Amino acid sequence: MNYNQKIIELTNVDKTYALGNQELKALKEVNISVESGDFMVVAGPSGSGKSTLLNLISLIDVPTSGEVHFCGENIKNFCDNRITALRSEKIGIVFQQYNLIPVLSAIENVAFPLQIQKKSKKESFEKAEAILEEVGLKNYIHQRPNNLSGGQQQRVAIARAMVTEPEVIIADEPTSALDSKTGQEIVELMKYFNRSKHMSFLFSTHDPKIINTVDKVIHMEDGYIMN
Amino acid sequence: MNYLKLALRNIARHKKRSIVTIMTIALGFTALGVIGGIVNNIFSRLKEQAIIGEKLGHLTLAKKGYFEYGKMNPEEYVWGAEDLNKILSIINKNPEVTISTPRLSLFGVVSNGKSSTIFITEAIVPQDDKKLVITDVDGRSGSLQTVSLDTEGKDRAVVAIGSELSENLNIKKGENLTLLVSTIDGITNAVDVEVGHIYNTGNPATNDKFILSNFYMAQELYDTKGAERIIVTIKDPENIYKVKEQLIQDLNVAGYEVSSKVWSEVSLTYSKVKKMFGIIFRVLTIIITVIVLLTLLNTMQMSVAERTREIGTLRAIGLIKRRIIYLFCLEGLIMGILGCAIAVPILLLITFILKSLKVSFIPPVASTEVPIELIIKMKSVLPVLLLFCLASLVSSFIASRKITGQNVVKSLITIN
Ligand SMILES: Nc1ncnc2c1ncn2[C@@H]1O[C@H](COP(=O)(O)OP(=O)(O)OP(=O)(O)O)[C@@H](O)[C@H]1O
Ligand SMILES: [Mg+2]
Repeated sequence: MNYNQKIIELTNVDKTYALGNQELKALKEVNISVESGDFMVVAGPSGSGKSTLLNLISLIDVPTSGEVHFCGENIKNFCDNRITALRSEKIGIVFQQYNLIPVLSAIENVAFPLQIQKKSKKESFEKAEAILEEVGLKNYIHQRPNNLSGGQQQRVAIARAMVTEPEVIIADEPTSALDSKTGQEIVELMKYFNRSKHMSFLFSTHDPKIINTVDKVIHMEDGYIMN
Repeated sequence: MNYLKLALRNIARHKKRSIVTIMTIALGFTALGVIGGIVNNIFSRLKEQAIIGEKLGHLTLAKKGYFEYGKMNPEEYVWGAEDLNKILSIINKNPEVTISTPRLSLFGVVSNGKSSTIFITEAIVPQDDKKLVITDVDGRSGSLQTVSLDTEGKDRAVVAIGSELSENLNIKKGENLTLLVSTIDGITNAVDVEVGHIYNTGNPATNDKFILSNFYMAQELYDTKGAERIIVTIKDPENIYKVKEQLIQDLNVAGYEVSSKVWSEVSLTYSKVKKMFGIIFRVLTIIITVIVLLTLLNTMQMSVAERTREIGTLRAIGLIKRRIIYLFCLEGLIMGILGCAIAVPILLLITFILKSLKVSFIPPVASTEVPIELIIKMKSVLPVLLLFCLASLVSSFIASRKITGQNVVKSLITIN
């Protein structure tokens, strides 16, 4: 893997939401890039635009103006199916509410992204099992999400994001639904993968304790990146 | 990914709702199966009534133009004795033909000595008719109670009359009647006949004027040695149109211009009743299919609404829209097929119960009782199955398309 290679780059990005007949500028003149190996936090008060920014970087939303480059390619002209395929192969997403598929067991949830990529059942499940072991859920692989605690579910979600070996994992407030200790553990897990697999992470949080443990912090306020 | 497994688990996730949906589909399928089965039964009984009861056989052959103009000048459409024999021998050469029998129909005035009324008579060859009444119709043979004439020569002057005619003339079995007709040359002729049978013709329009008479007696009365029609039955009714064309062609080659009609075209009631029931069945099919469609649409819409965030997640982690729509369509289709599958044993049970109960009823435009049975045919069940599957797919597609198409972020922030 190349170090310090730009994975995602946002240039002069604005994002405007329509609120009735009013317009709300959630992002203003944003320039940011995520490089391979990064471990970055997006911090800022509520409503400052953290989620909006992460949605654009995850390629699940598009900017009102400005440009998004993914591995050097402008995604502006990509069709929906192509962007979806890009997400499937290059981006892992972890959600605040874990968002596991309730009818699938832990291992099936983790294997799912590989099966979307039409990998064989055997390969998918072997990889899923290995990574679940790594996140410490060896004994829970056949449990459905509703039998798992919040922290365990978020571990499954991280395993699901990791399993395709994406370029970057993006997580919007992955710890805010968890108690502070469990939240810390999740951050430790992400750090572990960042170190051991050189996986890039970009996530947002409100928690000052977490912010203090991370080197690269992006401060947001009122739609602007402050640093 | 094993979409089938995923779909089945999602169906199982909301057991109550899925069961209600599947049972609604099963009920709709059963209802259409029962109605279709009854309609098929009525069609089949009407067919039997036409072929055997109305004594139409499978095919009627006559001189060309008879079916259009025969009623106005019947004498022009009577074959002479020589022609009749030749024609019969040509018909009998066809290996498909099982019975070929000449017919005459006359009309005139019938009198009991005190009062009189009009009559029509169909003159049959009793020996041939004995064979006709046991013709196989849809796998049944001799199940229709119908009247025939005695075959003995001495009983030539014995007739069977419609039950209402007997009431109108106040005549009982064994009593005598006088028939008055014009001969082929227009001379008035009369004959005394004995009432050997009184029976219901199965058709209110003819029951008060119909007389079944002996062909040879009718020939004498009409002063002819010929006949105006030939009734034919064949081995395999599936070939009816092929045989019809073949006979017309064979007779043409021999110099006889004939036209021919199959029983359903000649029968007074069959086509009309069939059309009526066909329309009823189609309307009910549409109504029930719409109910099934709306039920499924409701279920799928609830399911899609509940799973909006899940849909957003699937999109976010890389599943394309088409696949998600496919997943919902699969869920709908499975419920549709399950519903139909559950209906099959129910339908068989109802068929069995009706058969063992031996209930019967009098269908409209007929005056004889018909047993209520279900005749379940692949031909009528399969289209319903396909229609229901289509309804499942359409409703799932409609329900899932919109949300699948919406912005992923919007789906993800939906709170269920
Ligand atoms: N779909 C939307 N429609 C309209 N306005 C929106 C939408 N999403 C976000 N906003 C607005 O955009 C601004 C930025 O929102 P965003 O969710 O990015 O903030 P945030 O930093 O993630 O806040 P929080 O810490 O509360 O999650 C806010 O003022 C918010 O109200
Ligand atoms: Mg947010």
